[in-house]
Amino acid sequence: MTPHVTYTTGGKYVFSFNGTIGGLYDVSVSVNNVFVLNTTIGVKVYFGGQCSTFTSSINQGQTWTLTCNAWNEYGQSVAVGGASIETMTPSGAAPVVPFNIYLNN
Amino acid sequence: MQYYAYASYNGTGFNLYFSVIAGPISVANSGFTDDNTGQKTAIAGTAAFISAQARDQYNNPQTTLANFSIWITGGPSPDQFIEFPVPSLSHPLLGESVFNYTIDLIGEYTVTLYFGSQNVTSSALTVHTGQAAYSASSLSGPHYIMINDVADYLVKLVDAFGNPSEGADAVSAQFTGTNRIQSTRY
Repeated sequence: MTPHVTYTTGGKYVFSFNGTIGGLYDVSVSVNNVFVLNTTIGVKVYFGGQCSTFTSSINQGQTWTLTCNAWNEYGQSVAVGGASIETMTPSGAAPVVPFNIYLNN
Repeated sequence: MQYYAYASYNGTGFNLYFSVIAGPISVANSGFTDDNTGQKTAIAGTAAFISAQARDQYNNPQTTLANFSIWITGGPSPDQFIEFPVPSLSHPLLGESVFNYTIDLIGEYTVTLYFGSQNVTSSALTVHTGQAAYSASSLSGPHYIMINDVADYLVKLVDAFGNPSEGADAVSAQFTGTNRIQSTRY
């Protein structure tokens, strides 16, 4: 993407960037084709994770496999560690399944 | 200029060569020449040249600018006022002398040609910023934004002497994405 650069006053030039797509970006400014000024910017999206859900009732002692994914703040997929089903209530209409996802930050 | 006269006597010719030199200096006819524009504009940190010539009342050029001097006064602001004589580089025959100077700070100056202490002529001189220098320039902006936000960037350009760019520098910007994600909301 090439933004329009505008001269203002006092040796200052300005330009803008619309962060419509998440991710990491290199920013380079070429001056007189003699030298380049560089920086970076990250466009953050929403970080978090999600696991697959139970599709039917579960019996005591039965093992289920849940598939979990996690994303960092730039929307990039990151590794999931330490995920486990810790407890499960033996009865009830809406069992609570504590579930922790640890992001590799 | 050199002339010769011809005369004859009893059929015999004679040539008489003689030179006419410029008369006394006419301050009114002396001044800057158009050979160099350094008395009007200059670039900060770059050598500039001024040409001047003394003439007599008939506009004949003097062979030197003896007793003439050039001074530059002014500066970027009243508290940065400077004043200095401009040294002469050369005094060629037929009198057009070349003066050389370098000013590091942009601003409005006055170039004055003196004959002795008499002001012969003056010229307004504007010193412009030189090309932007990497070491003194900067780029600033946010290091991250949330999606759909706008990041504003500021590029500040100055030349090697700290003079701010006057907008003549060619500046272009580019964003290159890596690991771009269209949508990741769950």
